[in-house]
Amino acid sequence: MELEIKDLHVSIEGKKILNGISLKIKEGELHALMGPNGSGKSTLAYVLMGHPKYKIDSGEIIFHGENIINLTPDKRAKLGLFLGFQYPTEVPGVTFKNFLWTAYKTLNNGASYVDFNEILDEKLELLEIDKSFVLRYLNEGFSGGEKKRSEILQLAVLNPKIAVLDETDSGLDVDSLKIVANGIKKLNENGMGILLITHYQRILNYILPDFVHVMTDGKIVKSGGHDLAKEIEEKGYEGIKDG
Amino acid sequence: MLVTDFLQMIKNRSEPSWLKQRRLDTFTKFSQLKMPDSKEEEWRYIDISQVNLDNVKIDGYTDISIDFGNDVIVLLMKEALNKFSDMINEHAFSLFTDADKFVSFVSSFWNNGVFVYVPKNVQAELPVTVKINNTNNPVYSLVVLDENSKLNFVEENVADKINPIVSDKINPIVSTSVTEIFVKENSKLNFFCSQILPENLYSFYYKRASVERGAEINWFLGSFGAKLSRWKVETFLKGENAKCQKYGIYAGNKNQHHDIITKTFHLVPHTSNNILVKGVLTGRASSVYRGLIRIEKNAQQTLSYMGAHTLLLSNKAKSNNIPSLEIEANDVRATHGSSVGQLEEEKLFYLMSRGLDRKLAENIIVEGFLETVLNKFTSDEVREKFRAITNERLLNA
Ligand SMILES: Nc1ncnc2c1ncn2[C@@H]1O[C@H](COP(=O)(O)OP(=O)(O)OP(=O)(O)O)[C@@H](O)[C@H]1O
Ligand SMILES: [Mg+2]
Repeated sequence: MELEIKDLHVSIEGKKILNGISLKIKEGELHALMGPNGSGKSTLAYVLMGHPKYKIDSGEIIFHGENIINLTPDKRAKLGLFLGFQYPTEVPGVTFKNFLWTAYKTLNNGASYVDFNEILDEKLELLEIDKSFVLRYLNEGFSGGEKKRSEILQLAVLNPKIAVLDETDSGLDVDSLKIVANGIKKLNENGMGILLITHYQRILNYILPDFVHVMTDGKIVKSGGHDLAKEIEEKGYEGIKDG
Repeated sequence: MLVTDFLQMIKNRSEPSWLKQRRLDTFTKFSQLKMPDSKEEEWRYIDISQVNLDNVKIDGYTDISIDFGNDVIVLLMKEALNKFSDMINEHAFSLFTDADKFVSFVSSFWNNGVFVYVPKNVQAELPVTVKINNTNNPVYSLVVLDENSKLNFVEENVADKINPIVSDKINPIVSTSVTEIFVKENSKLNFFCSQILPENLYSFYYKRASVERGAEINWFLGSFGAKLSRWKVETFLKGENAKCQKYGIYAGNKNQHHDIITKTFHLVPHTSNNILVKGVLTGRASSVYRGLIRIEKNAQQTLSYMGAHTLLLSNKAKSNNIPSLEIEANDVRATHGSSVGQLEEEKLFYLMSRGLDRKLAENIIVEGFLETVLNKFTSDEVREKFRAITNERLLNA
């Protein structure tokens, strides 16, 4: 199973944001996507998941051998796509657990609540999250770090084929970062394909990416191995552009 | 109703003489009062042009079923008049000295209702549940909790006998009721009330409670049915450390109008009040919520909050939340918050990205929106019932 993005051009309110992105992510691969603020990383993430506010001017997103650009987000999720949000929304009055169970049974036909609970407990342990966490309302009043943990916990329980993680490492303290990174690593080793959007080298110290891509002005200007991330850290985006 | 018909009605009933005299007095007042008009603040945004109280046909007794434990006294009003004439005489309409057209209509013509008396020191185990079959006949109920007592009261308003399809458009059914509640020192009343009338009916419910020292009233209200539904729920905190909480939800569809007024009067120091009213509207439904918190000059150390929020599921639905504070005292905390909003695309996208289809995502947001009111309910049964009714009304809209 792979996700293939072909020459994707995207605009919002007449403003071009993505200018021809091509990228292929296979199961079990880890891609890091880096780039300056405003370069279009979150836009790409949203577009992959099917956010209605963006207009796809041209290009294709192939998943499961099918162009998914006309599918609603829920259909994409059912095919095995996941987005970890840079800024997860708060949904008051809906407990995390009820919500996740609803999602779990929607994605897994005939799922049993007993199995779900088992998986949830296992993932809570893996991510060192307290059980009381899941009884809170979804993301409501969560700290920045807690919101990111909420995303990772959902990722681990829903276990998609391909996940786009938009700055899941931002806002995490050192200990949390290590736990989250190890969680991602494990999922990746078990075959999940991951596009990890990040600003920091530090998460890449825990999980070595197979590929690093640099985006500026809605274009991937450079791709390479994990060394590229170090180079960016040293030289900045300006420095690597021409080199 | 003509004077002659009215006199005949009084004559035909075997009621205490004080009541006959009262009916005569209020009938005079009722006949002189005009129907409210939209220039009066409380009657703005509400269309009662189809309602003519002078012409409403009244006959027979309202059908009411009651269910209760044996530690409290519960009777149909028409029967209570024999046994508890004095107590009823003492309390009836004593909180409504400022009766408007609707209240004086009820006080002239009421025929049945529920009488509840919880004796001193009785902490009622079982709830009193009341099912009122609404018609044109006005209903009057009286609930008295004597000192240091406790009660859960559940009132459900239906209109089983009315076929909404044949209901008259020119002379619609107008259901009216007045409930008076006295919560005496150190007592506690949980008052649950739902309105699940068929469409085409007009309902006007007036409820007032007097709460004495150390006593507490908790209102749990659900407004669901009728073409036009007006509630006026008022609480008078009369003794120190008296408490009031009002939690209400409404769900409107089609052309319904939900119109809710709550007023809380802080009359003495050290009282508290907490209000949260939330509604969801779809179709062309509309709503108005007016909330007043009034704090008298000597009512220092008052704590009072009022929140009113509406979620609109369609572009044609409309809502207006109008909270107001009248504060004469200077050492109090009184705040309010209100909002009218639509489903947020970002929330929907978030939920849909987890596999929920749009409809399910919408439902989850609506349920969550109301949950923060429903989770305050002290009865699981009522909460579940309100949830189910809301879902049905919004889904089958
Ligand atoms: N609704 C919108 N209307 C206009 N411009 C928008 C809108 N949403 C995003 N943009 C613009 O699109 C560009 C790309 O934004 P995007 O959020 O994808 O950047 P990013 O690479 O994720 O940045 P960061 O590293 O800060 O998260 C920015 O210039 C942003 O201002
Ligand atoms: Mg971003």
